Amino acid sequence: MTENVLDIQDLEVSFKSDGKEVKVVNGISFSIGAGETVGVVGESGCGKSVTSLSIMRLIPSPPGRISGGKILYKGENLLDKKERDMRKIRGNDISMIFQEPMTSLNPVFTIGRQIDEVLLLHKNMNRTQARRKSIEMLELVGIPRAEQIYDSHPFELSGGMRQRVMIAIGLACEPQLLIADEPTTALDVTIQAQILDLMRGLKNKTNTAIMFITHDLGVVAEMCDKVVVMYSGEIVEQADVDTLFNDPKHPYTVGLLGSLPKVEEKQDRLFSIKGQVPPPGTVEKGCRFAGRCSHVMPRCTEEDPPLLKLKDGHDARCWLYDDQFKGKEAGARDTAAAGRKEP
Amino acid sequence: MLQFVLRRLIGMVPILFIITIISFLFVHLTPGDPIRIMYGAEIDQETYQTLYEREGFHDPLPVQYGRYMVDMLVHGDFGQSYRTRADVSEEVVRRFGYTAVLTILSMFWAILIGVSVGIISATKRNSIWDRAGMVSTITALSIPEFWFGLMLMQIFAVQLGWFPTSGSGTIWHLLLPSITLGFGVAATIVRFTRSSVLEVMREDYVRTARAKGQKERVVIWSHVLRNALIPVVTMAGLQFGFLIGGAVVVEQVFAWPGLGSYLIDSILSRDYPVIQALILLFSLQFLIINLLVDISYGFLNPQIRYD
Repeated sequence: MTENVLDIQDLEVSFKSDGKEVKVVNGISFSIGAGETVGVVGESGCGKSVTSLSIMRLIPSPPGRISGGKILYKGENLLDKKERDMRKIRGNDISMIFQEPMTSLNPVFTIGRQIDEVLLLHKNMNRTQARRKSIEMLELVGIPRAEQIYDSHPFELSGGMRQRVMIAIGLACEPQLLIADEPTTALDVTIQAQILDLMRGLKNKTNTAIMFITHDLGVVAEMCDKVVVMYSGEIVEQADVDTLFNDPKHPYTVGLLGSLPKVEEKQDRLFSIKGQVPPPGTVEKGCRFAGRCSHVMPRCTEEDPPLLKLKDGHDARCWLYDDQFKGKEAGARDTAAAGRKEP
Repeated sequence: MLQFVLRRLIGMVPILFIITIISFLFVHLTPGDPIRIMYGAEIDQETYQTLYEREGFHDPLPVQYGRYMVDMLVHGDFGQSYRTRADVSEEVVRRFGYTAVLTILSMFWAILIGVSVGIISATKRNSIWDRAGMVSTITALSIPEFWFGLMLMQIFAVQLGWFPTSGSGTIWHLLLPSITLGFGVAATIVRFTRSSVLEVMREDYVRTARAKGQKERVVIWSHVLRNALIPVVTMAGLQFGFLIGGAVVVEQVFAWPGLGSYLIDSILSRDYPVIQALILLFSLQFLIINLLVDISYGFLNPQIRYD
């Protein structure tokens, strides 16, 4: 097993709203090995982006607050770092690209200046060296006429091009970890494919670990080694990508996979999980998914299920897989498996 | 760029033309007889008639207007003051410098105080500094200028004796009037800067800058401010027009020999040529400031092209 680049342990993040504190990330733990791509999947509002911003320590505070746990980067807890030391890590060891390429670049500065900035901050370069490296980065992310684009402003570029620029900024300092927060969500499908190809190519070239946040399981299947499925601030299932797609355990994962359109079957309606993610802080006891789960048992609304270890590297947070109940609830489990459409 | 400026300058011609008509009518249709005001009611009918005809008041208004325009455009002559017989243009040029220095210094205070307090209020939002700043701006906006000027004069000139009470001559004479004139605009700029900075701080590219590991100071002063100042510049430009109006009051309070006090004296004595010239000049200033604001956009916002 390679050394982990990132090790998140029992991370809790709270936001204050109307005077009371609500936990939006509730004790999540996972790790990312060197060069590994980990997908973090879940519906909007499940705490994916908050988790990624917590790693960068960029949670807007107040109202946000990291209220517990550890974030170990190469064995050092980022939560203990001084702001000054944290700044040396941001953009250099860990960098981030965002969902909205249209608004993520500063409209009044040239593209070149915005790539140079990160190099000048971390790499001890002078302006000439930074310029050369920036143009090199623009070429690396497949931008034609790099020298000319270097002096352009963001408004002269399309969304796909801007996301390439963001990737260039993210990778300029050769980080150990790149956090990609839904980098393709805002793009056209054809551009999405190009950007994913680019990221995959660069990952093979640079061996950067990637934390890939998305709600698109298709993207996960294409990009990731491991998948973490989040629901309402908790991890409900994690496994390597093959296991998750072939043998999903948690009813939520099953539902997510079921809601993917399939080419070989003609479907009039797409399957969807009924209901919505409960707002943080509204579920007082029991499983947070119980209200939407088709296999809900009396126990589910009473006791919060722990993350159960099913086999090495595959965990699910569901009472269906509790050993003590295995015999009793075996029937229910079979229904769970049968309810799932073939992947 | 040059073409843009030329086009805008040409565009000013019809506007100024309309302003001459309005100011001419405004002045001539206002009740009050300049000759009676100047020489008193007791001059005899014959003298009155001579003076009346000398100023050309017996002609119909369109003829008088035509004469005014021909004198101005063909001979570059803005007429003579009824009161002093001095050439209006000479007097205006002499006083213009005083008003220019006063308004520019006021604007300097307004921008200096306005932008810095605005940034502090925005970055330390809801702190004691922010609250204090907001209360002060409300207060500043509510106080009339003449009263604020008199209070400053009372405290710093009369009681403490740090500055001269009124008049001109040294840099110290300029300080109280410029602060009086600038404080209202400063308050407006504080509020504008604050809300603009707060808005820009929520932008995604600010988060990007932080994610690069940039220092918070640089994030604010470079990434945020450059964007936040675009609307502030427009507003400050418009406030310049407000300053010209404010100068009229403040110059009167501090006996500052600029155009503002000149305008008040001229209105009181129905000194038509002076009033008309000053209205035209103030309008021209306003147009030129607007043009300068538009040009400055190009430096602040790369998306703007002058074509």
